[in-house]
Amino acid sequence: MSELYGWMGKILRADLTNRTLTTEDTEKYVPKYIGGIGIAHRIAWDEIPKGVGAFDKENKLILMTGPLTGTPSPTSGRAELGGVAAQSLPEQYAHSGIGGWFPAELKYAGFDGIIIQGQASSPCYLWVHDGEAEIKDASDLWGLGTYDTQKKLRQKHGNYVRSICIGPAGENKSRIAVLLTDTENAFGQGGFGGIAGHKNLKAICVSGSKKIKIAHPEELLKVRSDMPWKPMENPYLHCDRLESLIDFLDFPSNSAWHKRSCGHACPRTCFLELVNVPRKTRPGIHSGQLGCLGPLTIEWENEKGHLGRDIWPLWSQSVEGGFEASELLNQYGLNEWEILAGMVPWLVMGNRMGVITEELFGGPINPSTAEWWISFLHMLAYREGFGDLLAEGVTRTINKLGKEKYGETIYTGTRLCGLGEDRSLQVDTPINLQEAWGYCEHHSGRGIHSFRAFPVWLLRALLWMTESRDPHDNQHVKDNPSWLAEFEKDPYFGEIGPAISFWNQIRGQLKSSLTVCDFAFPIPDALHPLQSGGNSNAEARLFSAVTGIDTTQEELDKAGLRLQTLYRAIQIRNYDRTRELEWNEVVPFFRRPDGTTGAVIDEEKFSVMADNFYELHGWDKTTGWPTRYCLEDLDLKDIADELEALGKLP
Amino acid sequence: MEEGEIPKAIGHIVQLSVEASACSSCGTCEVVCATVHEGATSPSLRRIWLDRFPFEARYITLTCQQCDSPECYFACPLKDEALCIDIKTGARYINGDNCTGCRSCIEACPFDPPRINFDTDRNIAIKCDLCKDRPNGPACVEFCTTKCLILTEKEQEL
Repeated sequence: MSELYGWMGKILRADLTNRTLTTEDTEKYVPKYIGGIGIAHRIAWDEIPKGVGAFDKENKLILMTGPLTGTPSPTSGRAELGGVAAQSLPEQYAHSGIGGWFPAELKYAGFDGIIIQGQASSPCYLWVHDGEAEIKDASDLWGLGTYDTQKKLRQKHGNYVRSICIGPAGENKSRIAVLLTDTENAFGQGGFGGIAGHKNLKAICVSGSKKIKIAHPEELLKVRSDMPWKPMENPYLHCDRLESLIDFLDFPSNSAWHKRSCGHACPRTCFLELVNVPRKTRPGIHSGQLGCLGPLTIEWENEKGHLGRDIWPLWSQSVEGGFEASELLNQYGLNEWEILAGMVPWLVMGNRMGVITEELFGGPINPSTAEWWISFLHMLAYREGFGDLLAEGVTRTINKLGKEKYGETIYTGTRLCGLGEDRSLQVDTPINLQEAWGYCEHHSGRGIHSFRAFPVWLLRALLWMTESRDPHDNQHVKDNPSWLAEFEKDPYFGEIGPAISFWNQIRGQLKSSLTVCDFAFPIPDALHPLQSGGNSNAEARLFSAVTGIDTTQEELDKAGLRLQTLYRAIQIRNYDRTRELEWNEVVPFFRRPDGTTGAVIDEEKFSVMADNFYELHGWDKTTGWPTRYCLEDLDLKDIADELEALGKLP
Repeated sequence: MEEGEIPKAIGHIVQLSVEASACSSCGTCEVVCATVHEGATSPSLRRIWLDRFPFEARYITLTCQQCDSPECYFACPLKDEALCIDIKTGARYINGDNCTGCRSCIEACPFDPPRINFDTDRNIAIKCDLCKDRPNGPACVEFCTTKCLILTEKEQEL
């Protein structure tokens, strides 16, 4: 093997059925598929055929880091997980990302990634250390929460080990169970925790002192210095929504809070960490982080720059109660986004409209008390009573109960929407906030993101269409004021709208393969999304500095398109994806009025926008399928041949 | 160099107390340290390390304190060849070319855990040298996300 910079060179394969451990060379996949989700896509194409369900033994958990992971590349301490997702509806290949310190430690343990396949006959965990691996008995871990599992693994293997694990929700094969590391980082969306539970895999624990070589160390540090996130003089000067929450609420006097980075080598400190907060209902104190949605355990908000008790008042409780609920969400290993942005709002609105009764739920629905959260989360994690159905996720629950009554009922309670000073608009919203593919609304101008005004949610609609899940694993749309000004002139027919979505999509593939964070990259410094400028070429500079493979941003963007197109090919081969199918899945959500002006999608015009979006990829407008020319231009001839044999080339 | 001739170091790396600042737990100090010195990252290559206790919200950065009376230096059988004192900065540093990996310096370090790391691949001890040859000074201080690491002559404030 030639000397590798960035990559460790080995991928571990753990067959839980046969309890065998083997290794494969990473060079089989790189640099062509970069790492992270790119390698996962290729392995999924090669090894997950059509017909494999989420809870089949043949399903795989493909956990991959990238060449930047564990280096000083800013925000690079991430990994991606691919596999047939239990949360996705229909079940289909999807992905999820994680931060924290596990991904870098996996590389220090000697591996770029782990492929987990089969099903163990009894609870086990994977112990990976310094180039070696063992499948170990987890009978003393099974039943524990995620925090307790991690603590126990530290007792067994030392304070420096890092682990990801499932809680009771995963053990009970919930479709909204996560794999969690530390106190708030998780492979959250996708229900991969439930799949780990089905495989009897409680945890993966890693530690090591292997070396990640960097080709051009000084250049790497220079790129880091060039990034817009400068070291702060004092972290308390930084102000954002999470801090405003602290200012707004009564914070316990003997507690403290700090800004924290949620991942290795991250200069951004997005997370809020609360320290020594007394629990509301149970004895003791708790310390831990609150990420993006964590504060919603305290109260539900509409994100207009203020907290939501007077905007969309679905619940409100004390910091102590909310933080205790957040602790339990994580301990049980449950998906925060699904529960806080979709499930509990649906329960509250449905209850207020008389649709979801106490008889159906099994008791009162009152998230303004900590006691309710404790009881609710327990029934959800352990599938007790109505929790057994809810553990299938909100979309499947509504489908089972009946979409017309339990989904489409209009909520008429108070919610102030609109923009600016005019917040009096009362926009009708169905109680069901699920958007598409089994996932609830995310940045689409409705639900929790009602403040996203037309036309920006059109950009998200394109991304939702071409995904297998909520696209916000790696596609939080980045833009800048000049792009948006141009876009707003002619949202449907202008060429910049599809270009913004396209740029975010292929850069999303790069983020998840290099790996870096979705909140930091890409950097929209250029005059146009498809041009270079400023720090918009940061990904290529980082990749080149770490790997020593001199690569332009144009070349790297083409690799991103290769990964997106390979992902597309999996959707087409395994799940019969067509433009018509994804249109029918996604567009109905945008027929409901948005939360600012009540705008709805113009489907005829949006069809033109979608045409332009597909064409940017080199995909056929009618079918949404990549052409042979596109596939061969991306060095994916073997994919083209297989799709052609299946009659799925346009 | 005899004991009376040993210059004091210009300072040592200190993590400010949480009242004055806050470690964000990003670990950038560890990876830039290893990158500057070794062109690679690894727990075995860093001269500064972060002990994370996420369930207690405690994050503690540890590194060499550049003792006025450097027991590591005194214990080194190849003093001034392997464990050396930099004339310009007073940094107590290890010349990896001459280190035999005897671990005497690690055993002599008065701190628990010892503030000297060991690279098993090369069989040498490694420790903070205050980035003595680096124009911008210690990389961990330069790149610290929250500026909670400083170079100071004061005692560690944790």
